[in-house]
Amino acid sequence: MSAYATHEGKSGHEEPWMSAIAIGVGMILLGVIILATSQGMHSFIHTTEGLDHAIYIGGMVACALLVIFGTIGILVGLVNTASGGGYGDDDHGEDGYDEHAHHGSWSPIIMAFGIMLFLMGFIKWNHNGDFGILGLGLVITFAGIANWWREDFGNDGKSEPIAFGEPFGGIEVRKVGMWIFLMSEVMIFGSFFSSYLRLRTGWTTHWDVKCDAFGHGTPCPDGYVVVASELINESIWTLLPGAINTFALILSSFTLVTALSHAKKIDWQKPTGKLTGWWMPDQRRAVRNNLVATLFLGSLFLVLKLIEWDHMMNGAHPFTIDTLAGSVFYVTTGAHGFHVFVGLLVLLFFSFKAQRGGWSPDNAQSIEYFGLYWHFVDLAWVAIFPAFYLY
Amino acid sequence: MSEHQLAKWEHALAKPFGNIYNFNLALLMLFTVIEVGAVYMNLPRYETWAVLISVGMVKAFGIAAWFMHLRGDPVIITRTAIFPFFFVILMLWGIGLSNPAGIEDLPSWCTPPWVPAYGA
Repeated sequence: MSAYATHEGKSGHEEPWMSAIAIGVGMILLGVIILATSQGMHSFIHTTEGLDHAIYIGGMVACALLVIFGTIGILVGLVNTASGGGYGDDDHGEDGYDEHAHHGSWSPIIMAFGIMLFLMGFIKWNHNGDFGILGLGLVITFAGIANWWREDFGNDGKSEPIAFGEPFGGIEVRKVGMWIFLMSEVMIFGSFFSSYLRLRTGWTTHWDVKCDAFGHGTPCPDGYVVVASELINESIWTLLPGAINTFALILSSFTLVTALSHAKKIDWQKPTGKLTGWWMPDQRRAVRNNLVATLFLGSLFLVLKLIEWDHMMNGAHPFTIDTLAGSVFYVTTGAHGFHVFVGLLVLLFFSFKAQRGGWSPDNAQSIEYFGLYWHFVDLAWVAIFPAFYLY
Repeated sequence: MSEHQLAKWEHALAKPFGNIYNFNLALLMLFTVIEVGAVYMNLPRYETWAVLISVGMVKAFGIAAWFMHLRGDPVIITRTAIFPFFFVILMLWGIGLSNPAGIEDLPSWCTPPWVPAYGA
Protein backbone atom coordinates (compact mmCIF):
# COMPACT_ATOMS: atom_id res chain seq x y z
CA MET A 1 0.00 0.00 0.00
CA SER A 2 1.28 3.45 -0.82
CA ALA A 3 2.43 5.50 2.13
CA TYR A 4 0.32 8.29 0.67
CA ALA A 5 -2.82 6.29 1.22
CA THR A 6 -2.26 6.42 4.95
CA HIS A 7 -0.93 9.94 4.94
CA GLU A 8 -3.77 11.41 2.93
CA GLY A 9 -6.20 10.30 5.56
CA LYS A 10 -4.70 12.41 8.30
CA SER A 11 -2.93 15.25 6.54
CA GLY A 12 -4.29 18.24 4.69
CA HIS A 13 -6.90 19.69 7.01
CA GLU A 14 -5.58 18.13 10.20
CA GLU A 15 -1.97 19.27 9.89
CA PRO A 16 -2.00 22.89 10.98
CA TRP A 17 -0.46 25.53 8.80
CA MET A 18 1.35 26.58 11.92
CA SER A 19 4.03 24.05 10.91
CA ALA A 20 4.92 26.24 7.90
CA ILE A 21 5.15 29.25 10.22
CA ALA A 22 7.28 27.29 12.69
CA ILE A 23 9.62 26.09 9.93
CA GLY A 24 9.87 29.67 8.64
CA VAL A 25 10.77 31.00 12.09
CA GLY A 26 13.26 28.14 12.48
CA MET A 27 14.90 29.03 9.17
CA ILE A 28 15.31 32.67 10.17
CA LEU A 29 16.78 31.65 13.54
CA LEU A 30 19.16 29.25 11.80
CA GLY A 31 20.19 32.08 9.46
CA VAL A 32 20.92 34.35 12.42
CA ILE A 33 22.94 31.59 14.16
CA ILE A 34 24.96 30.96 10.97
CA LEU A 35 25.58 34.68 10.60
CA ALA A 36 26.70 35.07 14.22
CA THR A 37 28.94 31.97 13.98
CA SER A 38 30.55 33.11 10.73
CA GLN A 39 31.19 36.60 12.10
CA GLY A 40 32.69 35.05 15.25
CA MET A 41 34.91 32.72 13.21
CA HIS A 42 35.95 35.63 11.03
CA SER A 43 37.33 37.38 14.12
CA PHE A 44 39.39 34.36 15.23
CA ILE A 45 40.60 32.75 12.00
CA HIS A 46 43.28 34.48 9.95
CA THR A 47 44.60 32.70 6.87
CA THR A 48 46.62 33.81 3.89
CA GLU A 49 44.19 32.08 1.50
CA GLY A 50 41.38 34.39 2.57
CA LEU A 51 39.40 31.58 4.21
CA ASP A 52 38.34 33.92 7.01
CA HIS A 53 36.81 36.35 4.54
CA ALA A 54 35.15 33.48 2.65
CA ILE A 55 33.49 32.34 5.91
CA TYR A 56 32.38 35.93 6.57
CA ILE A 57 30.78 36.32 3.12
CA GLY A 58 29.40 32.78 3.10
CA GLY A 59 27.71 33.36 6.46
CA MET A 60 26.09 36.55 5.23
CA VAL A 61 24.78 34.95 2.02
CA ALA A 62 23.52 31.83 3.82
CA CYS A 63 21.77 34.05 6.38
CA ALA A 64 20.18 36.16 3.62
CA LEU A 65 18.88 33.05 1.83
CA LEU A 66 17.50 31.54 5.03
CA VAL A 67 15.79 34.80 5.96
CA ILE A 68 14.18 34.95 2.48
CA PHE A 69 13.10 31.30 2.70
CA GLY A 70 11.88 31.69 6.29
CA THR A 71 9.90 34.84 5.49
CA ILE A 72 8.21 33.08 2.57
CA GLY A 73 7.44 30.12 4.86
CA ILE A 74 5.81 32.39 7.43
CA LEU A 75 3.82 34.21 4.73
CA VAL A 76 2.65 30.89 3.24
CA GLY A 77 1.55 29.75 6.68
CA LEU A 78 -0.26 33.01 7.46
CA VAL A 79 -1.98 33.29 4.06
CA ASN A 80 -3.13 29.67 4.09
CA THR A 81 -4.29 29.88 7.68
CA ALA A 82 -6.31 32.98 6.84
CA SER A 83 -7.80 31.49 3.66
CA GLY A 84 -8.29 27.98 5.04
CA GLY A 85 -5.97 26.71 2.31
CA GLY A 86 -4.60 23.24 2.03
CA TYR A 87 -4.67 20.51 -0.48
CA GLY A 88 -8.08 19.10 -0.97
CA ASP A 89 -9.53 22.61 -0.79
CA ASP A 90 -9.42 23.15 -4.50
CA ASP A 91 -13.14 22.70 -4.99
CA HIS A 92 -14.68 24.87 -7.62
CA GLY A 93 -17.95 23.11 -8.15
CA GLU A 94 -19.92 26.33 -7.70
CA ASP A 95 -18.50 27.96 -10.80
CA GLY A 96 -18.90 24.97 -13.03
CA TYR A 97 -15.42 23.48 -12.82
CA ASP A 98 -14.75 19.89 -12.07
CA GLU A 99 -14.14 19.35 -8.37
CA HIS A 100 -10.51 18.37 -8.92
CA ALA A 101 -9.74 20.58 -11.90
CA HIS A 102 -6.91 23.04 -11.57
CA HIS A 103 -8.23 25.82 -13.73
CA GLY A 104 -6.37 28.76 -15.21
CA SER A 105 -4.85 31.31 -12.89
CA TRP A 106 -4.35 35.08 -12.99
CA SER A 107 -1.23 34.75 -10.87
CA PRO A 108 1.32 34.44 -13.72
CA ILE A 109 -0.17 37.57 -15.33
CA ILE A 110 -0.01 39.48 -12.03
CA MET A 111 3.58 38.32 -11.60
CA ALA A 112 4.54 39.27 -15.17
CA PHE A 113 3.02 42.74 -14.66
CA GLY A 114 5.02 43.11 -11.44
CA ILE A 115 8.24 42.07 -13.19
CA MET A 116 7.57 44.61 -15.96
CA LEU A 117 7.18 47.38 -13.37
CA PHE A 118 10.26 46.13 -11.53
CA LEU A 119 12.40 46.31 -14.67
CA MET A 120 11.07 49.77 -15.58
CA GLY A 121 11.70 50.88 -12.00
CA PHE A 122 15.16 49.37 -12.04
CA ILE A 123 16.19 51.73 -14.84
CA LYS A 124 14.72 54.69 -12.98
CA TRP A 125 16.35 53.66 -9.70
CA ASN A 126 19.69 53.22 -11.44
CA HIS A 127 19.30 56.61 -13.12
CA ASN A 128 18.16 58.84 -10.25
CA GLY A 129 17.72 56.63 -7.19
CA ASP A 130 13.90 56.71 -7.34
CA PHE A 131 12.73 53.46 -5.69
CA GLY A 132 8.94 53.94 -6.12
CA ILE A 133 8.16 51.95 -9.30
CA LEU A 134 10.79 49.33 -8.48
CA GLY A 135 9.27 48.79 -5.02
CA LEU A 136 5.74 48.61 -6.42
CA GLY A 137 6.92 46.07 -8.98
CA LEU A 138 8.48 43.93 -6.26
CA VAL A 139 5.30 44.01 -4.16
CA ILE A 140 3.09 43.02 -7.13
CA THR A 141 5.55 40.30 -8.18
CA PHE A 142 5.60 38.77 -4.69
CA ALA A 143 1.80 39.06 -4.44
CA GLY A 144 1.53 37.11 -7.71
CA ILE A 145 3.96 34.46 -6.47
CA ALA A 146 2.19 34.16 -3.10
CA ASN A 147 -1.22 33.80 -4.77
CA TRP A 148 0.14 31.22 -7.22
CA TRP A 149 1.57 29.22 -4.32
CA ARG A 150 -1.73 29.45 -2.42
CA GLU A 151 -3.68 28.20 -5.44
CA ASP A 152 -1.31 25.41 -6.30
CA PHE A 153 -1.02 23.97 -2.80
CA GLY A 154 -4.42 22.43 -3.41
CA ASN A 155 -3.68 21.02 -6.86
CA ASP A 156 -4.12 17.26 -6.78
CA GLY A 157 -3.14 16.90 -10.45
CA LYS A 158 -6.16 14.86 -11.47
CA SER A 159 -6.82 16.83 -14.64
CA GLU A 160 -3.60 17.17 -16.59
CA PRO A 161 -4.42 18.91 -19.90
CA ILE A 162 -3.27 16.93 -22.94
CA ALA A 163 -2.46 18.51 -26.32
CA PHE A 164 -4.70 17.36 -29.16
CA GLY A 165 -3.21 19.19 -32.15
CA GLU A 166 -0.17 18.16 -34.17
CA PRO A 167 2.75 17.80 -33.71
CA PHE A 168 2.36 17.47 -29.94
CA GLY A 169 -0.88 15.49 -29.88
CA GLY A 170 -1.17 13.20 -26.86
CA ILE A 171 1.58 14.94 -24.88
CA GLU A 172 0.92 16.90 -21.68
CA VAL A 173 0.46 20.60 -22.46
CA ARG A 174 2.59 21.71 -19.51
CA LYS A 175 5.48 19.53 -20.63
CA VAL A 176 5.35 21.00 -24.14
CA GLY A 177 5.13 24.50 -22.63
CA MET A 178 8.18 23.86 -20.47
CA TRP A 179 10.20 22.64 -23.46
CA ILE A 180 9.21 25.68 -25.53
CA PHE A 181 10.31 27.85 -22.59
CA LEU A 182 13.61 25.97 -22.40
CA MET A 183 14.12 26.61 -26.12
CA SER A 184 14.07 30.34 -25.39
CA GLU A 185 16.50 29.75 -22.54
CA VAL A 186 18.89 27.97 -24.92
CA MET A 187 18.82 31.10 -27.11
CA ILE A 188 19.63 33.36 -24.13
CA PHE A 189 22.66 31.34 -23.07
CA GLY A 190 23.60 30.84 -26.74
CA SER A 191 23.82 34.62 -27.17
CA PHE A 192 26.09 34.87 -24.09
CA PHE A 193 28.37 32.19 -25.49
CA SER A 194 28.57 33.69 -28.97
CA SER A 195 29.45 37.09 -27.42
CA TYR A 196 32.10 35.44 -25.25
CA LEU A 197 33.53 33.50 -28.20
CA ARG A 198 33.73 36.62 -30.33
CA LEU A 199 35.53 38.56 -27.60
CA ARG A 200 37.73 35.70 -26.49
CA THR A 201 39.02 34.85 -29.97
CA GLY A 202 40.24 38.42 -30.31
CA TRP A 203 42.09 38.55 -27.01
CA THR A 204 45.66 37.62 -26.12
CA THR A 205 45.29 35.64 -22.91
CA HIS A 206 47.22 33.26 -20.66
CA TRP A 207 46.56 30.57 -23.23
CA ASP A 208 48.65 32.43 -25.81
CA VAL A 209 51.44 34.00 -23.75
CA LYS A 210 53.23 32.78 -20.65
CA CYS A 211 53.71 35.93 -18.61
CA ASP A 212 52.80 37.44 -15.26
CA ALA A 213 49.98 39.95 -15.53
CA PHE A 214 50.41 41.00 -11.91
CA GLY A 215 53.90 42.46 -12.10
CA HIS A 216 55.96 39.75 -10.41
CA GLY A 217 57.60 38.02 -13.38
CA THR A 218 57.86 38.40 -17.14
CA PRO A 219 55.71 41.38 -18.09
CA CYS A 220 52.78 40.75 -20.41
CA PRO A 221 52.59 42.31 -23.89
CA ASP A 222 50.32 45.26 -24.68
CA GLY A 223 46.72 44.23 -25.24
CA TYR A 224 47.03 41.24 -22.89
CA VAL A 225 43.65 40.47 -21.30
CA VAL A 226 43.22 38.85 -17.89
CA VAL A 227 40.25 36.48 -18.10
CA ALA A 228 38.29 34.96 -15.23
CA SER A 229 39.81 31.49 -15.62
CA GLU A 230 43.32 32.89 -15.11
CA LEU A 231 42.30 34.20 -11.68
CA ILE A 232 40.18 31.16 -10.83
CA ASN A 233 43.01 28.74 -11.66
CA GLU A 234 45.51 30.67 -9.52
CA SER A 235 45.36 28.01 -6.80
CA ILE A 236 43.27 25.08 -5.65
CA TRP A 237 41.51 27.44 -3.17
CA THR A 238 40.25 29.72 -5.90
CA LEU A 239 39.10 26.83 -8.10
CA LEU A 240 37.45 24.98 -5.22
CA PRO A 241 34.13 26.94 -5.09
CA GLY A 242 33.50 26.40 -8.82
CA ALA A 243 34.50 22.74 -8.64
CA ILE A 244 32.32 22.06 -5.57
CA ASN A 245 29.47 23.89 -7.29
CA THR A 246 29.76 21.62 -10.31
CA PHE A 247 29.40 18.54 -8.11
CA ALA A 248 26.63 20.22 -6.07
CA LEU A 249 24.54 20.89 -9.19
CA ILE A 250 25.01 17.36 -10.50
CA LEU A 251 24.05 15.94 -7.11
CA SER A 252 21.04 18.28 -6.90
CA SER A 253 19.81 17.01 -10.29
CA PHE A 254 20.12 13.50 -8.91
CA THR A 255 18.21 14.25 -5.67
CA LEU A 256 15.45 15.95 -7.66
CA VAL A 257 15.02 13.07 -10.06
CA THR A 258 15.05 10.71 -7.03
CA ALA A 259 12.28 12.76 -5.40
CA LEU A 260 10.29 12.46 -8.63
CA SER A 261 10.76 8.70 -8.92
CA HIS A 262 9.61 8.22 -5.30
CA ALA A 263 6.63 10.54 -5.74
CA LYS A 264 5.51 8.61 -8.83
CA LYS A 265 5.60 5.16 -7.27
CA ILE A 266 2.15 3.70 -6.66
CA ASP A 267 3.46 0.61 -4.84
CA TRP A 268 6.15 2.43 -2.84
CA GLN A 269 8.27 0.32 -0.53
CA LYS A 270 10.82 1.39 2.03
CA PRO A 271 14.40 0.96 0.77
CA THR A 272 16.16 -1.98 2.37
CA GLY A 273 19.54 -0.27 2.87
CA LYS A 274 20.31 1.09 6.34
CA LEU A 275 21.21 4.59 5.17
CA THR A 276 18.55 4.81 2.44
CA GLY A 277 15.98 3.40 4.85
CA TRP A 278 16.84 6.11 7.35
CA TRP A 279 16.79 8.79 4.65
CA MET A 280 13.49 7.62 3.17
CA PRO A 281 11.40 6.00 5.96
CA ASP A 282 8.08 6.59 4.18
CA GLN A 283 6.97 7.93 0.82
CA ARG A 284 6.17 11.42 2.07
CA ARG A 285 9.57 11.83 3.70
CA ALA A 286 11.33 10.20 0.74
CA VAL A 287 9.95 12.96 -1.49
CA ARG A 288 10.39 15.73 1.07
CA ASN A 289 13.95 14.82 2.08
CA ASN A 290 15.15 14.64 -1.51
CA LEU A 291 13.49 17.96 -2.32
CA VAL A 292 15.04 19.59 0.75
CA ALA A 293 18.43 18.12 -0.23
CA THR A 294 18.02 19.73 -3.67
CA LEU A 295 17.12 23.02 -2.00
CA PHE A 296 20.21 22.77 0.22
CA LEU A 297 22.54 21.97 -2.70
CA GLY A 298 21.13 24.84 -4.79
CA SER A 299 21.59 27.20 -1.84
CA LEU A 300 25.16 25.94 -1.39
CA PHE A 301 25.75 26.76 -5.05
CA LEU A 302 24.70 30.38 -4.52
CA VAL A 303 26.70 30.76 -1.30
CA LEU A 304 29.88 29.49 -2.98
CA LYS A 305 29.17 31.54 -6.10
CA LEU A 306 29.03 34.77 -4.09
CA ILE A 307 32.14 33.84 -2.06
CA GLU A 308 33.93 33.39 -5.38
CA TRP A 309 32.59 36.65 -6.83
CA ASP A 310 33.63 38.52 -3.70
CA HIS A 311 37.14 37.10 -3.92
CA MET A 312 37.39 38.02 -7.60
CA MET A 313 36.05 41.55 -7.15
CA ASN A 314 37.84 42.44 -3.91
CA GLY A 315 40.88 40.14 -3.93
CA ALA A 316 44.51 41.03 -4.53
CA HIS A 317 43.85 41.36 -8.29
CA PRO A 318 40.36 42.87 -8.65
CA PHE A 319 38.38 41.50 -11.59
CA THR A 320 35.51 43.94 -11.95
CA ILE A 321 32.45 44.19 -14.16
CA ASP A 322 33.64 47.42 -15.82
CA THR A 323 35.95 45.50 -18.17
CA LEU A 324 34.82 43.47 -21.20
CA ALA A 325 36.25 40.27 -19.69
CA GLY A 326 34.55 41.00 -16.36
CA SER A 327 31.28 42.00 -17.97
CA VAL A 328 30.86 38.85 -20.05
CA PHE A 329 31.86 36.67 -17.06
CA TYR A 330 29.57 38.29 -14.48
CA VAL A 331 26.60 38.63 -16.84
CA THR A 332 26.76 34.98 -17.92
CA THR A 333 27.43 33.47 -14.50
CA GLY A 334 25.04 35.99 -12.90
CA ALA A 335 22.23 35.04 -15.31
CA HIS A 336 22.89 31.41 -14.45
CA GLY A 337 22.92 32.19 -10.71
CA PHE A 338 19.61 34.03 -11.09
CA HIS A 339 18.12 30.93 -12.69
CA VAL A 340 19.32 28.91 -9.70
CA PHE A 341 17.70 31.42 -7.32
CA VAL A 342 14.35 31.25 -9.15
CA GLY A 343 14.61 27.46 -9.01
CA LEU A 344 15.19 27.65 -5.26
CA LEU A 345 11.93 29.58 -4.78
CA VAL A 346 10.05 26.82 -6.62
CA LEU A 347 11.91 24.16 -4.63
CA LEU A 348 10.95 25.91 -1.42
CA PHE A 349 7.28 25.70 -2.43
CA PHE A 350 7.71 22.03 -3.41
CA SER A 351 9.36 21.29 -0.05
CA PHE A 352 6.54 22.92 1.94
CA LYS A 353 4.02 21.02 -0.15
CA ALA A 354 5.96 17.79 0.46
CA GLN A 355 6.04 18.50 4.20
CA ARG A 356 2.22 18.45 4.13
CA GLY A 357 2.16 15.27 2.04
CA GLY A 358 0.93 17.18 -0.98
CA TRP A 359 2.69 15.05 -3.61
CA SER A 360 1.23 11.83 -4.94
CA PRO A 361 1.57 9.73 -8.11
CA ASP A 362 -1.33 11.83 -9.51
CA ASN A 363 0.43 15.19 -9.35
CA ALA A 364 4.11 14.19 -9.35
CA GLN A 365 4.39 15.36 -12.95
CA SER A 366 4.73 18.92 -11.59
CA ILE A 367 8.05 17.83 -10.07
CA GLU A 368 9.00 16.39 -13.44
CA TYR A 369 8.25 19.63 -15.32
CA PHE A 370 10.14 21.73 -12.79
CA GLY A 371 12.90 19.12 -13.00
CA LEU A 372 13.28 19.94 -16.71
CA TYR A 373 14.08 23.52 -15.74
CA TRP A 374 16.46 22.50 -12.95
CA HIS A 375 18.30 19.99 -15.17
CA PHE A 376 18.56 22.67 -17.85
CA VAL A 377 20.29 24.92 -15.31
CA ASP A 378 22.67 22.02 -14.66
CA LEU A 379 23.12 21.60 -18.43
CA ALA A 380 23.97 25.29 -18.85
CA TRP A 381 26.60 24.90 -16.12
CA VAL A 382 28.11 21.98 -18.08
CA ALA A 383 28.97 24.57 -20.76
CA ILE A 384 29.75 27.52 -18.47
CA PHE A 385 32.16 25.68 -16.17
CA PRO A 386 34.77 24.66 -18.79
CA ALA A 387 34.32 27.81 -20.89
CA PHE A 388 34.65 30.37 -18.10
CA TYR A 389 36.35 28.51 -15.24
CA LEU A 390 38.74 26.05 -16.82
CA TYR A 391 39.64 27.39 -20.27
CA MET B 1 10.92 7.42 -17.34
CA SER B 2 10.28 3.91 -16.18
CA GLU B 3 12.84 1.13 -16.43
CA HIS B 4 10.93 -0.65 -19.21
CA GLN B 5 11.46 2.32 -21.53
CA LEU B 6 15.22 1.80 -21.49
CA ALA B 7 17.10 -0.01 -24.22
CA LYS B 8 19.12 -3.18 -23.55
CA TRP B 9 22.42 -1.34 -23.41
CA GLU B 10 20.98 1.08 -20.88
CA HIS B 11 19.75 -1.76 -18.71
CA ALA B 12 23.25 -3.27 -18.88
CA LEU B 13 24.80 0.04 -17.79
CA ALA B 14 22.26 0.63 -15.03
CA LYS B 15 22.31 -2.90 -13.55
CA PRO B 16 25.48 -2.62 -11.40
CA PHE B 17 24.27 0.74 -10.05
CA GLY B 18 20.70 -0.23 -9.18
CA ASN B 19 19.01 2.15 -11.60
CA ILE B 20 19.82 4.48 -14.49
CA TYR B 21 19.83 7.60 -12.27
CA ASN B 22 22.56 6.18 -10.02
CA PHE B 23 24.57 5.24 -13.11
CA ASN B 24 24.12 8.74 -14.55
CA LEU B 25 25.25 10.35 -11.29
CA ALA B 26 28.43 8.23 -11.28
CA LEU B 27 29.02 9.03 -14.98
CA LEU B 28 28.63 12.79 -14.45
CA MET B 29 30.89 12.79 -11.38
CA LEU B 30 33.59 10.79 -13.17
CA PHE B 31 33.56 12.99 -16.25
CA THR B 32 33.73 16.15 -14.17
CA VAL B 33 36.88 14.82 -12.49
CA ILE B 34 38.33 14.11 -15.96
CA GLU B 35 37.39 17.65 -17.05
CA VAL B 36 39.18 19.34 -14.15
CA GLY B 37 42.11 16.91 -14.43
CA ALA B 38 42.60 17.68 -18.13
CA VAL B 39 43.11 21.36 -17.37
CA TYR B 40 45.47 20.66 -14.46
CA MET B 41 47.57 18.28 -16.58
CA ASN B 42 48.50 21.28 -18.75
CA LEU B 43 47.88 19.45 -22.00
CA PRO B 44 48.46 21.36 -25.25
CA ARG B 45 45.65 23.77 -26.13
CA TYR B 46 43.85 21.71 -28.80
CA GLU B 47 44.06 18.50 -26.77
CA THR B 48 42.50 20.35 -23.83
CA TRP B 49 39.73 21.67 -26.07
CA ALA B 50 39.11 18.17 -27.42
CA VAL B 51 38.83 16.76 -23.88
CA LEU B 52 36.60 19.59 -22.61
CA ILE B 53 34.24 19.42 -25.61
CA SER B 54 34.05 15.61 -25.57
CA VAL B 55 33.43 15.49 -21.82
CA GLY B 56 30.84 18.29 -22.13
CA MET B 57 28.98 16.33 -24.81
CA VAL B 58 28.90 13.15 -22.72
CA LYS B 59 27.67 15.08 -19.66
CA ALA B 60 25.05 16.93 -21.71
CA PHE B 61 23.82 13.60 -23.11
CA GLY B 62 23.60 12.08 -19.62
CA ILE B 63 21.58 14.99 -18.26
CA ALA B 64 19.28 15.38 -21.27
CA ALA B 65 18.71 11.68 -21.95
CA TRP B 66 18.18 10.33 -18.45
CA PHE B 67 17.61 13.16 -16.00
CA MET B 68 15.40 15.10 -18.44
CA HIS B 69 13.84 11.84 -19.64
CA LEU B 70 14.31 12.49 -23.36
CA ARG B 71 15.05 8.78 -23.81
CA GLY B 72 11.56 7.88 -22.62
CA ASP B 73 9.65 10.80 -24.18
CA PRO B 74 8.15 10.99 -27.69
CA VAL B 75 10.69 11.88 -30.39
CA ILE B 76 8.99 15.23 -31.05
CA ILE B 77 10.20 16.43 -27.63
CA THR B 78 13.81 15.60 -28.57
CA ARG B 79 13.35 17.42 -31.87
CA THR B 80 11.95 20.41 -29.99
CA ALA B 81 14.93 20.38 -27.65
CA ILE B 82 17.42 20.21 -30.52
CA PHE B 83 15.71 22.86 -32.67
CA PRO B 84 17.18 26.00 -30.99
CA PHE B 85 20.71 24.60 -31.27
CA PHE B 86 20.49 25.24 -35.01
CA PHE B 87 20.25 28.96 -34.22
CA VAL B 88 22.88 28.72 -31.50
CA ILE B 89 25.32 27.18 -33.99
CA LEU B 90 24.49 30.02 -36.40
CA MET B 91 25.21 32.55 -33.65
CA LEU B 92 28.44 30.87 -32.63
CA TRP B 93 29.56 30.81 -36.26
CA GLY B 94 28.21 34.14 -37.42
CA ILE B 95 28.95 36.16 -34.29
CA GLY B 96 31.34 34.12 -32.18
CA LEU B 97 33.82 33.36 -34.93
CA SER B 98 33.44 36.63 -36.84
CA ASN B 99 36.17 38.44 -34.94
CA PRO B 100 38.96 39.21 -37.44
CA ALA B 101 41.61 38.31 -34.91
CA GLY B 102 39.74 35.16 -34.02
CA ILE B 103 39.41 33.66 -37.49
CA GLU B 104 43.02 33.94 -38.61
CA ASP B 105 43.91 30.45 -37.48
CA LEU B 106 40.68 28.78 -38.52
CA PRO B 107 40.26 26.73 -41.71
CA SER B 108 38.35 28.49 -44.47
CA TRP B 109 35.37 26.10 -44.28
CA CYS B 110 34.39 27.40 -40.86
CA THR B 111 35.12 31.06 -41.49
CA PRO B 112 32.22 33.37 -42.30
CA PRO B 113 32.77 34.88 -45.77
CA TRP B 114 32.70 38.49 -44.64
CA VAL B 115 35.05 40.82 -42.85
CA PRO B 116 33.26 42.63 -40.07
CA ALA B 117 34.26 46.12 -39.03
CA TYR B 118 34.95 45.04 -35.47
CA GLY B 119 37.95 46.86 -34.09
CA ALA B 120 38.29 49.07 -37.15
